[in-house]
Amino acid sequence: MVATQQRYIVQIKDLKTHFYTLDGVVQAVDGVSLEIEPGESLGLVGESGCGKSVTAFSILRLLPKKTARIVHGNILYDRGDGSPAVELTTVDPNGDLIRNIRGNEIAMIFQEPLTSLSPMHTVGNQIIEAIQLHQGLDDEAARQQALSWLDRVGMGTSGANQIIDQYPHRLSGGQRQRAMIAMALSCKPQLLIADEPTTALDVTIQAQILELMKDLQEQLGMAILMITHNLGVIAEMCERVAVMYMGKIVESGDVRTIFRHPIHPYTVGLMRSIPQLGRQVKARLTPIPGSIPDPYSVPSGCAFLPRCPVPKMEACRQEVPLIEVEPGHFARCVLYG
Amino acid sequence: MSDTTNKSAELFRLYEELSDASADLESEESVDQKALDAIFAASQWQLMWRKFKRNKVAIVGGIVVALYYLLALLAGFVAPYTLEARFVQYIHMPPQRIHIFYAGKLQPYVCDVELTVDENLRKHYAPNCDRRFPLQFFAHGESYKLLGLIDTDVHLFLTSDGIVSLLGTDRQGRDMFSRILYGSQVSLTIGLLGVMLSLILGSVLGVVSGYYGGWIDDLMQRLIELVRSFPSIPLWMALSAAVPPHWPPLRTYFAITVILSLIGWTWLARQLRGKVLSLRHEDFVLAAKMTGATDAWVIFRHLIPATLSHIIVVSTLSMPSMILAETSLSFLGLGLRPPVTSWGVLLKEVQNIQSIALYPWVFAPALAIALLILAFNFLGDGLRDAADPYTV
Repeated sequence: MVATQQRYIVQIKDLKTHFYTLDGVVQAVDGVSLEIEPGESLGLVGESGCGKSVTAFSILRLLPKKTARIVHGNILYDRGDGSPAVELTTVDPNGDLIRNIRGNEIAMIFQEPLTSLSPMHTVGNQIIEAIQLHQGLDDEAARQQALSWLDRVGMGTSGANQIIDQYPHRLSGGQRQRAMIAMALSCKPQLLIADEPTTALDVTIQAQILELMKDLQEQLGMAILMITHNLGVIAEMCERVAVMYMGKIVESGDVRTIFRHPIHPYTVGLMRSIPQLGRQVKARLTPIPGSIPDPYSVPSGCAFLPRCPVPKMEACRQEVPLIEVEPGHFARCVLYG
Repeated sequence: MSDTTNKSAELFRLYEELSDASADLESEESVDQKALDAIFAASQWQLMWRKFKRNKVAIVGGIVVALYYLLALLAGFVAPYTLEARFVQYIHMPPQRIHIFYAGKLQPYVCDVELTVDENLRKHYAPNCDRRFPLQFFAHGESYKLLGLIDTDVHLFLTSDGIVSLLGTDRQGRDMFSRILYGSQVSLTIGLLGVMLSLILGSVLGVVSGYYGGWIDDLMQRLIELVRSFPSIPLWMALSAAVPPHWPPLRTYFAITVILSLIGWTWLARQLRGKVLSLRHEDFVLAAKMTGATDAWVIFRHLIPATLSHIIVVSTLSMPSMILAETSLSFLGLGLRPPVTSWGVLLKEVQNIQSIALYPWVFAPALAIALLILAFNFLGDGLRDAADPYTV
C-alpha cells in the first residue's frame, strides 16, 4: 500500500523521550514510530500519562529543558518546499529553524483555551502577533488578516470585529477555542497538532469545533494530529488512529478497522469501556481491570501484561514488536507473532 | 480478514469472562500497587514528610535544633556547675583539654593548671599533668532543680577536685560551658514565646485582613507599614525604656518577649493575607458560607488550617530572628540584664578589647548562636521546600 515515493510530513522513528526526575526515570515515550501524510488526520489515543502529549511536544521540541531528553530515535520533518527533510531531534530547541517551524509550519492548539491565551492582551493582538512574527506584514494588513481568520473560524464578520479587541476572559469557552484555532491556522500550517482540543468544552460546542476543524482542514489541505482520550472524537475526525499505552503504540491502523475489530487486548478494553447508545440504561460501564503500572518501574516486555485478560504467555516477558497483522493494521501483541 | 474479526471477538469474550471473575482480581493486587496507592492517598503532611526526609541538610538542621532544646531542658544536669559557682583561683582560664585515656585505660581526666603571672601582669595557665582530676560521671555536685521540678544534685560529669571547664572561664571564674547552657534556657524560650505570640497576632490579623478586604484590609496594611517603617533599634530602645528598671528579671524577660513579638508579626500577616486573598474565592469557602458558617468558623476552621503549613514554615524561619533580636537587645544593654543569664547577656559582658585580645574563648556563646541560627535556617528551608506542592 505504501509506495516508496510516499511523502510524509512528519516521520517519527523509534522515538524515546525520557524524563529524569528526582524519583527516577520516566520513559514517557518509549519507542514510538509513526508517519503523518499530507492532508490526513491521524488520531493518537490513550489514557492520561501514556505519552501522547509528550510525543507532540517532542515534535515541536517544547519539552521541559531540565528534565526531559530525547534519548533515541529520529523525527524527520519535510518542510514541503523540496528541501531535504529536517531532523527535528537534533535542532537547537531555541534556534531560528525550529522557531520558524513552530507556529508557522506546525501549529498546535491546546486543551484549555483560557490558560493558553494571555490574559493581558486582547485576542486580536495575540493573533496579529503570530501573523507578524511569521509573515512580516504591517499592522493594518495583519489586523485585516486576523479579522478574516476570526470570520473563518465561525465568528461572523460583525462578531470578528467585536471579538478582536476583547480580552480572553470576556469570551466564552467555545469562542476562546475558536480564537485559538484562528491563531494556530493564521499562518496556514502544514500540520496542526490538536492536543485534546475539545476536552474543556461542552458536547454541542465540541461538535461545532470538530466540524470547524474538519472544514478548515479540507480548505487548507493541512494534516491534523489529533491527540485525545476521547474515542468519539477520533471516530468523528480521523482516518487513521494509533493507540498508545505506557509510551508505546500498541495498535494502529485504519479507524474503521480498529473500531470494528480491535485486536490488541488494550484496545479491546478501551472499546468496551465506551458508553453506547441503545445499551440498557442500567448496564454499568466496564473498566479495564487494574491500573496503569508505576511509571518509574515499568515491567519489561509487554506493559499491558498485568491487566491483560488473555492467559499469560512466556513470550510476553520479552519486548514485543509491532506486528503487521493485516495490511495497514499493526498490533503489538504476541498473539500475532 | 475474518481471521482478525474472530480474534477481536475472542478478546471481547475474554474480557466478559474476566469481569465475571473480577472480584478475585482485587485481592491479587500486588504489594507494589498498594504502596503506590498509599502515596496517592497520602495526606498533605505525609507528602511533606516524604519530601522533607530526602533533604539531608534539613534533617541535620532539625537534629541540631532538637539537640539544643534538649540541652536547654536538661541544662542543670549537663552543666557541671550552677550559675552561682565561682572559681576565684581560675579566673580567665582557657578551655581545658580532656584526656580520654590514662595508662592505656579508658579513663577521661583533666589536668590541673598552674598559674603564672608575667612581667606585664598577664596570666598564663600551664597544664600540670602531675595532678590529674578524673572525670566522674553522674556525680553528686551542687544541687539544682531538674526541669525546674525535681530537686537533685546529679551532674553528667564532674571532677572531685579542681575544675573541669570545656570552654574556659570568664572574668569571675565562672565556667563558660555551664553559663552557655543556662543562657540557652532563656535565649531559646524567648524565641519560642515570641514566635508564638507573633504567630497568633500575625495569623489572625493577616487572615482577617485578607478575608474581609475593604477598609479593614486597608487599615491593617497601613498599620503593618507603620510598624515596619520604624527603624527597629530606636523602637526597641523606646519600648524597653518603658520597662521599669525595678521589675524582677522574669517580668522584664516577659516584657521583652512581648515587645519583640509586637514588632515581629507583620511579616507573617502580610504573607498570610496574600494566601487568603486567593483562598477566599475557592469553592470550599463558598460552600462553607452557603451552609451557613459564620465568618469566624470559616477563618478558624478553613482558612487558618489551609495556611498551616505556611505558618509552620514561617515560624521556623522567624525563630532565628527572634533569638538574634534578644541577643542584640541584651548586647546593647536594652534587654535582659544580669543576674539573668542569656546569650545576649553573656556577649554583653565581653564587649571589650581585653576579651578579644586575651580571652577569646569567652566568645563561645557567639559560636553557639551562629550554629543554632544556621540549623534553624536549614530546617526552615527544608520545611519550605517540603511544603511547596509544586515540587516533586
